[in-house]
Amino acid sequence: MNTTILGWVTFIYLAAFAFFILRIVLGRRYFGIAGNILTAAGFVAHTAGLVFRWVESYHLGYGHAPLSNFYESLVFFSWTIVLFYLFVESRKAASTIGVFCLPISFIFMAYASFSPGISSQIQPLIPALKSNWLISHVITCFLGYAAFVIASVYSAFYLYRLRASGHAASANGIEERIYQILVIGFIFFTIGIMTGSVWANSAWGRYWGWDPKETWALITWLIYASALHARLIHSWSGKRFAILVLIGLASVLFTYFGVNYLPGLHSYL
Amino acid sequence: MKLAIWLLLILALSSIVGTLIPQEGPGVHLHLSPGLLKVFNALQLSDFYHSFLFLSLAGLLGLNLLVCTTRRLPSLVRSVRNASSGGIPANAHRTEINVAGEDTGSTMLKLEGIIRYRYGKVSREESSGGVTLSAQRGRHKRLILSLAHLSILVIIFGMIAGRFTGFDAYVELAEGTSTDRAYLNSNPGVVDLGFTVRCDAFKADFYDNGMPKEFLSELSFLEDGRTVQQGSLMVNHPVSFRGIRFYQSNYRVGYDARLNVVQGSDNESITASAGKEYMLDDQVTRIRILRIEDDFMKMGPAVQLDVSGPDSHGQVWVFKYIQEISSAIPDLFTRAPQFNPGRFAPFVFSLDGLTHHYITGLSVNRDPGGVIVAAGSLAFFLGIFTALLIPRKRIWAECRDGKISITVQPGISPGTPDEEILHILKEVNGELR
Repeated sequence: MNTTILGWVTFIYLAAFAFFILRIVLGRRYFGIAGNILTAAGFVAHTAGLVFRWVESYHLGYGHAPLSNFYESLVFFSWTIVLFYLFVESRKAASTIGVFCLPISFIFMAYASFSPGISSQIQPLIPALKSNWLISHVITCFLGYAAFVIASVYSAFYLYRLRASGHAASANGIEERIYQILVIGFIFFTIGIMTGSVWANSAWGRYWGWDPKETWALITWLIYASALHARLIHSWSGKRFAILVLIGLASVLFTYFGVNYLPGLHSYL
Repeated sequence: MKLAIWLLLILALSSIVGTLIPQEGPGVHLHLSPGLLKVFNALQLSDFYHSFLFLSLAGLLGLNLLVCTTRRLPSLVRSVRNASSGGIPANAHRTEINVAGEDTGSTMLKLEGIIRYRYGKVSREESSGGVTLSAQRGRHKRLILSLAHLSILVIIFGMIAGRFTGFDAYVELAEGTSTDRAYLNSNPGVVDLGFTVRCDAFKADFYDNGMPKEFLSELSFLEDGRTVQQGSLMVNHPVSFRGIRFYQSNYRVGYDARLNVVQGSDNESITASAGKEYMLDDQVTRIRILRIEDDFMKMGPAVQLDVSGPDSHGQVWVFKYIQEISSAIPDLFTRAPQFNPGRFAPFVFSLDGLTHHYITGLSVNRDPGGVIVAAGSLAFFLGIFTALLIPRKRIWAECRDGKISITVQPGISPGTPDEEILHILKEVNGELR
């Protein structure tokens, strides 16, 4: 049931992406509006899918939030990206970044739904995951990730603008927005690391153990800390700032995907 | 701050090293040539996060933080009291305003009222050149942010303190056994707990699909032979006693062997555990249990014994299904005498079977620095979070040579400087009309 809904959500996001492309290519505003309406509809269905999955896990007798395996984390990551996109869009309707955000959400959903290596079955929780910290840790981390993704999308857009126009003035407002989104992401990610270390302290007996996932989270945190400071120095703001945000994205993606190829304790994501 | 950015980035870059090289893994040295091994050891690459290189980088960042923050602190404290301390910044947004048909003095008076209403306390400075009014909102923002930065040093201090005053150890307890010591993880060594911990029972629960559901150790803590405290230890639910915390880390299955020893008409049965030594009925011969195997070489349960008698010493494997095995391989005992249960005449050994019990693996640690780290983290988080919620905005109204100008410097806050100035202008003009 929930996987069927979430499968459909994948295609809604693909359709929204198509509308955003039309918006850019044909330059008609109403395509952007249609794309946003589809995105919002997809988001509602996405949320419903997550809620159904949660309820279903109770019917199976497991009863846990849908945040416990690779399939669920991909679906949730995609959800947070769309949530952030809609949030930013509602404050500043520009329909310019939809064409970058929606394909990301689409790819995560498609990967989760159609990759043969990923089981979409609801599984019970292993003892290490049975903790009240699961929900707060996962949600804050992914909200942080999503903010970093959106900030990176804006950074790519900013660098493109900079190349196209040759001077920073036309892109000044974007830099301010990147910074604001980054601050939000940084705060969520900081809470994510803190809740994670409280959890690690009760599960493994140490709040920090240089597990690859922990270390890569720290690397990501350090990169974004440097980006936040870079903004305040004249010679580092602008182009260098935007590049740092993009380097941070590479680190986010490695923290999320790449670490699983290294030995460590976070094998369940 | 430029140095800080570089240090942050270098620290991030060097942190990657330790995730690519296995840390303190026993296998790591096996695959390296001696030359490479020397490089590894010199740079302490297999314990990278405690290596000189990494710690000095972290130390430099800490030092940078301390120096920068303490150097800024006095001016920050001053700026809390006075908005215009340090003068009007060059990059602030400045607009000249014209007020027709009114003298600058009364316009400044109005401006003072408007600014006081919007920003709070206004300070007035009069010099030979003219009058400057200044005010600020969110005066504590930067001070709070600085304190948040300093709390990172508290975190580092807590980590160091924990490393020197606490310990990380591990101990295995079979059901029904107890210990008063644990084994250090980092270096070979033993921790004297100062009390006795006993595992009364261990339970492993599984879901229908075979995935683990719950691991639980029932622990008792004893002092001078008396049980002082009891607790159920589960994953994610540590148990604490006298400042030392116990964590459910892992478990394994241990076996006991039900051995039979026949000597002529004497039949003796022994329930034996691995590593233990037993005296046989002749009061001279001893057996020590070397290994107990659930399924040895696909031939079922087996026990390896070390037998030492007055005139013989050696080892023997005792199989449960020795009849079946020896009838399938008729010349077994000539080819492998160590499988002959009658190897040490007059004794003949046989194995009735195995009983299994659980052995629980406990992490044992003490970390007095943890509280400091937690306090530092909380302070850091609250600091950056409240600083974010407080928008800092400064405003100056200057009257010089009969001209009035307004300067606004926004922090991270809604509304641009233009909007702010426009709003103030509307108020000034609205009152004029």
